Amino acid sequence: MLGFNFRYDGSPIFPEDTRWGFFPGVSAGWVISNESFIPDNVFSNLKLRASWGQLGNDRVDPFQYIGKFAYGTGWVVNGSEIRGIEASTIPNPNITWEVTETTDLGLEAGFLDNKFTFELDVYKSSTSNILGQRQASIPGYTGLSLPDENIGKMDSKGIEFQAGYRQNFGDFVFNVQGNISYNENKIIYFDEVPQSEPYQKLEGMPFGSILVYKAIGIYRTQSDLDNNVNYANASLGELIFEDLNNDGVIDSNDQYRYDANAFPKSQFGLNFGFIYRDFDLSVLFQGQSGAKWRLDNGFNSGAGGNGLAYVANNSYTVDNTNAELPRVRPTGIGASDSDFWYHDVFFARLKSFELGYNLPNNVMSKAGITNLRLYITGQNLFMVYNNLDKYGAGDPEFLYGKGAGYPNMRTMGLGLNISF
Amino acid sequence: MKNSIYKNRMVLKTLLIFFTGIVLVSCSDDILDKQPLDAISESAVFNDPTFLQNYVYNSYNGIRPPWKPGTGGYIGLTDIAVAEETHNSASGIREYLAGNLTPDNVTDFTNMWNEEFDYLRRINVFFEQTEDSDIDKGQLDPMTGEMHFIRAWIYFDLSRIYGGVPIITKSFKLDDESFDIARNTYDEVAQFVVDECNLSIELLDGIDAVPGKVSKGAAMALKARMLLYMASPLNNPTNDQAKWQAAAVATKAVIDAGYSLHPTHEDLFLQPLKSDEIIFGKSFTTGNRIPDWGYNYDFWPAGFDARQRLCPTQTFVNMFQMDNGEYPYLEDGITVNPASGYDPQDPNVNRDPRYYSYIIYPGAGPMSIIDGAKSTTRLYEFWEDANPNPDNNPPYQNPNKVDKFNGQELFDFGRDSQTYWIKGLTPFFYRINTGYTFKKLLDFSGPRASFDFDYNQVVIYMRLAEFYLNYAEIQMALGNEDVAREYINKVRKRPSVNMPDITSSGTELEREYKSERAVELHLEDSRFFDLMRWKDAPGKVDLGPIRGLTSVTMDWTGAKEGDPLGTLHYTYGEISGPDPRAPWPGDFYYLFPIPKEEIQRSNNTLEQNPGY
Repeated sequence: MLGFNFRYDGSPIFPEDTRWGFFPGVSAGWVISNESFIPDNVFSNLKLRASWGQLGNDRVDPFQYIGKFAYGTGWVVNGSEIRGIEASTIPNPNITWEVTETTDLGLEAGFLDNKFTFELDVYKSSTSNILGQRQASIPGYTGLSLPDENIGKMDSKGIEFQAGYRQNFGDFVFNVQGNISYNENKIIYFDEVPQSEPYQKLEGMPFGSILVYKAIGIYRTQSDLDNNVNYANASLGELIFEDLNNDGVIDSNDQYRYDANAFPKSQFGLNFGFIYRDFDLSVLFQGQSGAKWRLDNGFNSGAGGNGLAYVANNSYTVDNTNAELPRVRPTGIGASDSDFWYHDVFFARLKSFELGYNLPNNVMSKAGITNLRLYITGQNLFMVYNNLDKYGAGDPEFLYGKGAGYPNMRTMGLGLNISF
Repeated sequence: MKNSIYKNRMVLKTLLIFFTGIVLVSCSDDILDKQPLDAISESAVFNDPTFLQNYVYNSYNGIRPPWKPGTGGYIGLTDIAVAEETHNSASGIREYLAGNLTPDNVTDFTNMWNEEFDYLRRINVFFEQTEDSDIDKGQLDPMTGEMHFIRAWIYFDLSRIYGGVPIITKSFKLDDESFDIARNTYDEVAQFVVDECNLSIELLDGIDAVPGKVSKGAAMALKARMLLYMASPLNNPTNDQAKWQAAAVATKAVIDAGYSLHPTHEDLFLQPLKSDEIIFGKSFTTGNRIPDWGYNYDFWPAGFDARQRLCPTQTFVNMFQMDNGEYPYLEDGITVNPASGYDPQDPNVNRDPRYYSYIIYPGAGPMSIIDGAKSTTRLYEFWEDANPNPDNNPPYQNPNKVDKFNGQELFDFGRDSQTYWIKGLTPFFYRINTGYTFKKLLDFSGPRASFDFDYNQVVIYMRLAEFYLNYAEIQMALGNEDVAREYINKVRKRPSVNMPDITSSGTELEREYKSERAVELHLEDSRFFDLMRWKDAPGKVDLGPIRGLTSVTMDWTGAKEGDPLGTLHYTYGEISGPDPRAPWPGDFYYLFPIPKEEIQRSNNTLEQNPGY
């Protein structure tokens, strides 16, 4: 099997010269199991497929290639309001399509009359001409309000794997399916602040990486203050940061680029179920790993100022110098973000569950009922594993530093379906 | 028959599809050639005098109002106010006062950097686009004069925050090869401001002043203010008298420009702009509001269900003299001045009239609080019960049982007390309470908090009283104390204030001058920058401990129904709550650091201020 497709897209968002984009694609498949050299009794299905394609993205504000003016904030003259006119963004006459090129390689296999199925996909995509603003490298004193420009390139790759098994034992039908996926990305180049140290570069790091200090402990005693390179006004209870460039000073040049992404790198699921006569059951477990969660040890007065009990009980105080966490409310460099606060998120939960019973037809037909089903369902019933449990910050799927987010709801249902 | 109808329909459909196809193809190019419907073209803006004036009015917003950064501005960094955590820039204030300000954490205070340079670009675009304009000179010149003023104002402001900054008079373009630019010196920037003001004065000469609009007088005043900053100790280390002379000449010109003190001080900050005294100011309208929920919600006491962003310190309260011209306390702020007649247990009698206008103290009022069903007219009830029952439970001695306006139950402890909050009767009570609240900017004829109410306040950027005081300061520096006293006394002799003349000299005169200036100009973006240019931060910015009313109790014994007050008892001392202020880090701290990323983006062409 061989397929071609192509798109020739024009977008009013871009200027005439760069408006049109040609985005071709090609796909191919080979059902190997149809070939004579494959023994039928082993493979019920074996298929290899591959595809390659390009797609354009124009999801930015329109008319960024035109210099335009519009009514904006004005002034009050003699007690009356007079409108102001201001320039919108600086025009970018060169703006054009962001292009994503994706290559996908897949293998499908079925054994033993498709009782056992298996699917593997490997993909690699590269997004170039990424639309974004050059706000990292253009100084604020230029006063330029920046338009989107084609300023970046990013690669990502991933793998997805699925396997299933299905078996009938007389009245008992059993199935199980599992899937796992993993993906990662890397910035090839992007607009960034000219950094002083090589370990601060965004290039080569996953999208969303930030600059943080490297925490190597807590100043617990005077000797910690005496035996470390300290930042200005460092005091007991604050985090000790590593002098990464060994210049004897802790300043922002000692921050390093750190992957603090809140998106999971890997997601997995396990689904199993059975049907036995009039009963059926299906259960789904889900989980993820590779996202980062930032513990927040802030406390403020006023609404929204609540903090975690874990932080209150485990922060450094004069009476608790062996605490796991540093003191609250430091100022200066001690208050800067550091890798200390980030934790990998790894959890698995029982996502859903349903147990049903269908009343046998011969019983119901006497009552004029064509179908009667009694079932019990549940969602988000319990966590199988949650490595962040001890912080008490709530649902690890919703990453709020103080846990002040609305979690997944645990729901239980008891149902009855009757058809007459 | 049926068949033929069917056939005809088919033909019609086919034709339709055919034509639609043709139409789409033939005009597809035009379809993509859209024009924004909400935009005005560049040529229209710079060739139409009305549009151009609109552009200029937009640029006026580059003039930083006194409540920025955040809502409360820089006053929370001084000895006269302490900022609450509810101040929008509270975290930056903490960093500053802890002596921890660095080029990496300046963001809270350096919104100003980006914002002011943003407006500078708009102004530079104006100059570039109107160079060969066909607009009539009589219309264009005043606008050009206004733009020179705004550019001068922005550079004046940048120079007092950062010192020397790059003087940029051309607009950058997106495809410029390099954006690198070096800083000019403070003196160059200051001279640039003076030159811009001179251009503005020339272009606005002979044009009638309109309230809210930049006038020749405003340009003269800004020039005089710049020259005062240039002569001040921070920028004049050798105390060059010529700089003071220049400031004197420019300031006298403002004083002689025809302005006069408004006879009443209380309505100065209410609409309309009092153009007798106000040289440059702004009132608010529906489209130009005080940001957010209005000043009331930002500055009212917490017990009025508001955010109380700033509290006056006891240091500030002590700057208000008795009406006999004596300070209530000696300079230590603790020992009562025996000549004053002041009684710490009856502190609110016989004070400077401005005390009652500018400070809300326990028992002050009554004030009307407009707040829906909770609306009332009442005193500031910042007091605890002097004779409390266990857990402040009933019975209560207060003969007034119910607020007659809103039906609220009354207790022995006031509605602005901590106990009232502990009992869950109000959602607001903050850690930091000196017992006082600033009143200057409040509007008790407006509601507690509103997005869409037209509050009555105005913003004053420059007014004559400041220039009287500036002139007094200049004359002190020139050794003419009698002239200095004359001008301080002019401010004190405003009819509604009418305080006795000051007669002191030397350091006592200096103290009286500085207190007078703080009282008159507080919340007008003056105190912080005064301390900076005087190099007078030690003991003031790093004020410690912060004093206030540590306890106020009310004894209702013997009060009869209808009595607004029983007997108040005041305890003065160090208030807990404010973050400790670190010792003044050194002279480098008189200027803010340039944000580090700006230096990196300039490829290190910008140089950091020394010390950071």
